[in-house]
Amino acid sequence: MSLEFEKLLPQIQTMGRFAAYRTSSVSERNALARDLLAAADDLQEIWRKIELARTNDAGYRGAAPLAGQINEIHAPVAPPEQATLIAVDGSQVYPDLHASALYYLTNIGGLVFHHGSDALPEPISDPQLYYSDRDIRDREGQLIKHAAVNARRTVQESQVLAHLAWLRRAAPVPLLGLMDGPLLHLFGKDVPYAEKLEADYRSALVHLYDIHRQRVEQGIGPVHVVGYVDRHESRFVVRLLHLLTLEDAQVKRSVLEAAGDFEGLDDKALYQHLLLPGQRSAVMVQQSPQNKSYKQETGVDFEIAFFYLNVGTPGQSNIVRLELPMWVARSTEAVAQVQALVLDQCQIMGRYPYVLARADELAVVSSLEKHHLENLVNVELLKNQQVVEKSPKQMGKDQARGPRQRYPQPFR
Amino acid sequence: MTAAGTYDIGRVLRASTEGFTCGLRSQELQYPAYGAFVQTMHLNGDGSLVVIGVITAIRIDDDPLVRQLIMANTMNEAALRDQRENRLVPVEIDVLSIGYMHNGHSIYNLPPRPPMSLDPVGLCNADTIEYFTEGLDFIRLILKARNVSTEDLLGAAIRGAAQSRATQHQRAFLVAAGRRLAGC
Repeated sequence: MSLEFEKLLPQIQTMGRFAAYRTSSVSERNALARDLLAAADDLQEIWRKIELARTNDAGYRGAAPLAGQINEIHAPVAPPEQATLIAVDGSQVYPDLHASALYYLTNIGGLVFHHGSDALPEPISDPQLYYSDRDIRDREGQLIKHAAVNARRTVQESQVLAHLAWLRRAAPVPLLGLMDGPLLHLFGKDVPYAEKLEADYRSALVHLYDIHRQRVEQGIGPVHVVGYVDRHESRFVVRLLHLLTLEDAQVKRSVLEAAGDFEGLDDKALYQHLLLPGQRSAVMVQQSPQNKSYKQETGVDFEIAFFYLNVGTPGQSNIVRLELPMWVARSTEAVAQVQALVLDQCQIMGRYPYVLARADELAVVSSLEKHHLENLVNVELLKNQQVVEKSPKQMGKDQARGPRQRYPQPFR
Repeated sequence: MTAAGTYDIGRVLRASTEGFTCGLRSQELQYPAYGAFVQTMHLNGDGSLVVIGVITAIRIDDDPLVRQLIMANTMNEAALRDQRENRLVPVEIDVLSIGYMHNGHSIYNLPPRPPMSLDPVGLCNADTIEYFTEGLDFIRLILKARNVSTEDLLGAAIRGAAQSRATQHQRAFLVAAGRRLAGC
């Protein structure tokens, strides 16, 4: 152990006091925001301000109403008697320049859970190994970055979800597909072939929508798709409230970049005081170029909406953000079913959906499994007369971090 | 049921000459019982050495997900089945060696070598138990066992050995075992 905790302890204590100060200073702003949200029932004025921000190219990244008032609160309804929930999650082993071979692994885990039935849930695991130059190197021949692996894993998650939904396309009950994390993805510069990945991701959403449409036409129930965001610092509603406090002349990029009177406040803190366990906010739409591209390039049914939901228990709130494509978000009945089914799942575990917890468990590659994978790869390399050697740097690290051992005793 | 007439209950995880621990999945837990007679045969050997033991403990370890489900206190039947049938919930069974059978002869000493990892472990059938417990020297190894409740274990093992016999022979066996115990 080389971390000197006696030097660190005063810093940890200061950090604790700082957190307490920040909470107390934010609470006043929170009260102001709650009052403003309660009074924000003039939809015409709200839309006028949002349009003004768009016209002024003010970089507005807040929420916009979808239907009804933005300050609505919805109690949960009873979940459907039966439904099929499909959750997917992913994990990975990143490529390591210091390892004996260059490769990366993705593992997609999933669980199909039959709500309202005692039927045995169906676990799914889909590991894939990548090692060709096209897979592990970018256009300049450099080893790909973690962001690239993450992006490919996200696309695979969506494809696995679409495939699992397609296999159950004839199920005469509503289908709910759950992904861990947001639905709105725009892959960055670090991701080679990002355009293709984005196209693949949106194709998976389109596939899900096609299954939904076919099922609705056949009268056998919808397909809901949800991105479950547990830990978030979203400020979409706070940004909207900030916009509403501005005079028209102030609606410009330099003012909207800051949060004004609501500095330090986020939507989670705001809704912790507004939503009782089980209740949800109004459905809103995030205003951003990414979301606009989803709507304009993929279709109006694919713009991403969201709502906040308190999946906690009395005295222990947990405000999560649920993202939905527009084909789900525009149906009041669909949103109510999503709310009820997610809450039902959270009750099994306490404050997190059981299906997602199991999908994560099925996906995760433990350090022990990673070590086993490395050994298997090394064995195959040796069988094929390849040199198996870690970099000197990695060997040095392994030796320094390894457990203390005695020198071998000489035979007597 | 295996060809040898025993119910396979798991495989050896770790072993010594004094005993061994075998692992199995939770849904396979309907047959093994505390004090039951089990046997294991060395897979790589010639099959002539069969270690006989009695179950001294059955353990199911917890994990964070199971703890969370208990804390939530709203057990869902499908989730329960998922936990028990899909998840690899490991059950560990400790076994005390009480002798071995070599070329068909019962020997009431510790085996000359322990079973190997992954050797199959099965419950002894009634014929094997009756044959092995014709001699009562296995009682000595149970009484000498460390870190187990010898009274409870002895009671369970003797009861199991008696039940493997025809009803009319059970009382005679129990009396003989009692006399042996009184002499120990």
